[in-house]
Amino acid sequence: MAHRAPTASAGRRVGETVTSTETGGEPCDLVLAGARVIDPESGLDDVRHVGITGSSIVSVTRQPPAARRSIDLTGLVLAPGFIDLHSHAQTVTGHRLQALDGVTTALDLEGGAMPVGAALAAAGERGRPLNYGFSASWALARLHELDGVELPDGREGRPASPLGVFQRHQHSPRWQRPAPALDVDRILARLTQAIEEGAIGVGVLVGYSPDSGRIEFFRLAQLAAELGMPVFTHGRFVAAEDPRSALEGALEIVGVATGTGAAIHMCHINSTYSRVIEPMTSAVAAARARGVRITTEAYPYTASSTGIGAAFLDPAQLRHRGMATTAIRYLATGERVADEARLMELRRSDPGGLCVIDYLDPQNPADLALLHRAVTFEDTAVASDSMPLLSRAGGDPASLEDVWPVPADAFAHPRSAGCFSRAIGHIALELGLLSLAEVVRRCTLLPAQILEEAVPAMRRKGRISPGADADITVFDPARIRDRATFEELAASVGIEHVLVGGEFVVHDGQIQLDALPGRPVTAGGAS
Amino acid sequence: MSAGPPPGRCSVVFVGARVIDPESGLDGIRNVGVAGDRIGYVGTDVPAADVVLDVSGSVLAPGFIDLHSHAQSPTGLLLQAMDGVTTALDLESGALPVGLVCSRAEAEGRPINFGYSASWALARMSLLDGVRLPEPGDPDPLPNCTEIFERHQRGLRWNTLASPREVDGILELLAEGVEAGGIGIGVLLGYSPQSGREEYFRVAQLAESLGVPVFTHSRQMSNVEPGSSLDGALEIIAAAAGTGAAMHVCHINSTSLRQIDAVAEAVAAAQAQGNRVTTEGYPYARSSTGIGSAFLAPDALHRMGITPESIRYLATGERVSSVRRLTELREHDPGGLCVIDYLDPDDPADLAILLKALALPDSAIASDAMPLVAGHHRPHDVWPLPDDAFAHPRSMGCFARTFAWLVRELGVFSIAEAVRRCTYLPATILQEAVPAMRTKGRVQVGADADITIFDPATVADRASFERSVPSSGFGHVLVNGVFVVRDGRPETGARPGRAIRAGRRVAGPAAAAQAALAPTAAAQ
Repeated sequence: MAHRAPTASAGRRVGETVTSTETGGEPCDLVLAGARVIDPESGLDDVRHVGITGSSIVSVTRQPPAARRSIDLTGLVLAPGFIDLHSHAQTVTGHRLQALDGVTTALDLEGGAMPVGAALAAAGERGRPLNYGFSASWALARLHELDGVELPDGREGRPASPLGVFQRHQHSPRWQRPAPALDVDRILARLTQAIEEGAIGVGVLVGYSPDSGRIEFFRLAQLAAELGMPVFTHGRFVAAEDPRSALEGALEIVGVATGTGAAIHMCHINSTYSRVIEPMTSAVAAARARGVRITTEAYPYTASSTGIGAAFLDPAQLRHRGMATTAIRYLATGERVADEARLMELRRSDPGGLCVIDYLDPQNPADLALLHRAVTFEDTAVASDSMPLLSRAGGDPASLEDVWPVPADAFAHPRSAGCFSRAIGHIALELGLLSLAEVVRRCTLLPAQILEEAVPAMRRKGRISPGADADITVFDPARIRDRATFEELAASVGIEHVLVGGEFVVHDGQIQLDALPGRPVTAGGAS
Repeated sequence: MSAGPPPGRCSVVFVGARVIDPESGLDGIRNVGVAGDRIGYVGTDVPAADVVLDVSGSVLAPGFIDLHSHAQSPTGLLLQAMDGVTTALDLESGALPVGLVCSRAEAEGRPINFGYSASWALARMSLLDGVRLPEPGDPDPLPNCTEIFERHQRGLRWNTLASPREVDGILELLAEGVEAGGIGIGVLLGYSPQSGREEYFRVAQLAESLGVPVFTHSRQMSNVEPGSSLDGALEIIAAAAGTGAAMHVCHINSTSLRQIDAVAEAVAAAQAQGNRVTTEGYPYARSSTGIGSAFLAPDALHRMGITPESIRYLATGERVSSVRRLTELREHDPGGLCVIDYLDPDDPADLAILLKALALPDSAIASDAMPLVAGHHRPHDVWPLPDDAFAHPRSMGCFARTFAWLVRELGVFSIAEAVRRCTYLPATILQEAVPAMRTKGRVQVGADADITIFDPATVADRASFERSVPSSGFGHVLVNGVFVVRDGRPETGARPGRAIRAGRRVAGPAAAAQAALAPTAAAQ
């Protein structure tokens, strides 16, 4: 991928002069000069000059290297580009909102895709601003094998969005039950095939099929361990108390990771485990201390978002959680769900219809403490769970896949545009719950490390060092803030420059509309 | 060779046996002298002794250590002594209050060493259902704690969720039990499958904080989902990984059923990562428990792959003929002991399942010995056995059967490996929490003189589901240096058994006892 020059309207910090205080060697293409450079791997946190040639970082030096072009970044923070382990916003528009949030690699690992070859091909054909990748979707493999649901395989007339297919069909009759062993064999064969096509591990939405077999999950993890692949899990249960408590779901993951040796990633521990966060984190910390491979992620919001037909939004489940239906906001109409009758109606008529759930009360300090405990739990990555855009006016979501600016009637959970800026600006800088270096680590090196055993390409991401990919995010620590709300999906501010593979996707805070440098990230091989 | 310091005068020297000491790897002809309650000599000389017994052709091994014995009566323990057992612990079910039960048994006297875990079931029953536990004013003998449990398992709250505050109370009783010498916590989870998962996790956290193990009868015993045997095993494994506690899986043979392959893989993976998960099994295709158990409810039988006819009710000897009869028996006599054909030993596939469970690496042999039933009575201290006395044959034949069937007939284990699984292995499972176990399970100078001598060519279990008969082939069994079986006959008056407690040594300081162990035996 050729390096692209900044657009003509390039901003005040661009200088065209070649700086050279070092002799010998070819000048690099570009130097990002004078920023506070944070490299979590080496522990570097100091003013440096970062030289880039092609798609790689070639130098990190105290003195500016010879370069064809230089940008003065004095007063800004230069960090590895953010790596989002959990993004369903796999469209050009979705990527752009995430780029303005500092993301350079957006992976859909919890939901995943099936078939993965088709999903990678479709993204590659259209082009993506950010690096992208998918896990093998257990949910789609299962819906296909058990309920005959058609897969988004790229053929004419087939649905395109893996997430959309899943959300529309989550009330399929056999999906919600244990599968016979022979069907499990076929599901596992499909997952294996997807991994051969480049899937990064297996995404397991078991929370949407809580009555699926535990033996199936165990066998799936055994398969993943054998293939050297991680498993990304939305936990089976969400209630605060027995029976079927979130702790039981967490302990299932601990037991399976321990009993198979598989690397299991627990998705959004803030929302799934918020009410059991103490015992859950205690169990995970103890298991990790014994070498059990469990990793975690969180996003810093007190509301979650999913299709209103989700198993865990069943009225009986809500009662067990002690949650009122009014905690749910149905996004298509903006209404708070008044009662169980209305909830049932919406679940029937529009099971995939996105909603927002106030799983914690942001006005309640005790609830906020639960959120903060999850987000600050040791070695927990920041991951957005970004959602695709929908139209409040009821328009076709496909029309929102590649538009800019984002239309006023478009909406999605604000984490889709503000997760990382919120983690840095609010959690770290405003509340002081994490140091700047630590929150940067949780957005960059940590997610890279979670993946790099299975995905060698990740060894070159999440770092600012010679040889690393030039995926770089430059932000202003004085200004960085999320701006997206449930009312308006506004882009974050304070993200000044974002480079993907050496190419500017955001320059001077502006999205670069012709930049599509994103590359596929796949398991096993280089991207 | 010389084996350690010159012995004081020995009370008895056994000459010419094949001595097996699993810790040192000794497996050779030696003479073993007993001095007081310790082993005073291991070597090729014959030290000065009151009695010299030629035991050529026999195996001399550490006395067997049974991690799982509910047969906690003088009679039950004597039957176990005749099966080679010198220490019989009730760790799965346990006792409460531990201090009282232990000291009363001590005062009454027992032929072999004994001990109890703190009973989660009794803590739960007393708190939730008001079940009366033994009290200091109660007359001897105190009722068998397993029996108290069996009688009350139809209690209204027993098999339901406890509130967080109730769980606090249960944990408090258990902590008291451990402080009173309970060897860890015994959790009959499978009898209360509706109890909370968080409660179980908190029990494991408590055990970890007290530095003692948890002994679990798994929540699940089912070939089918939901709630399969694999789920049950993974719950225990998760508690081990998620708390760091030492978690022991009881009778993995009977709870794993057709999930044994997956269970075995999960246990092995957990152990390979350094999690403290241990296992035990008994070599029978039939199990035994109170007929009122949750997993014997008529609508649960299909989960084990059995029918009412698979159950024999011991008080009458009948096979349960129908669901109606089963319901009736559960109603009228929930604690009534029965025997269950959980596998078909004549089916090669079922036999393979059983053998796989027993042959798991580092799995101990443990009997799950049951209290005797004679009609509606429970014999406590009688000898010879009443004609109508009965218990699952594992209660008096488990260890002999290990050598007769698994070693001699099937070749599943070598003699040395079987000895290890009956002695040193169970000792090591306990010894971190129970200093007394550091000097048991060994034939070494300074070790406790708990010794079992048997004829490997003829040792045999004789108990069947028809007849309760002691094992044969155990020539001599000594407990703390005292014969309880001599020349194959029980010494019915001998009561050398001592109480084994966690965190405390039976006699003398633990450190001194440990230091006294000479690393001798493999020297030659």
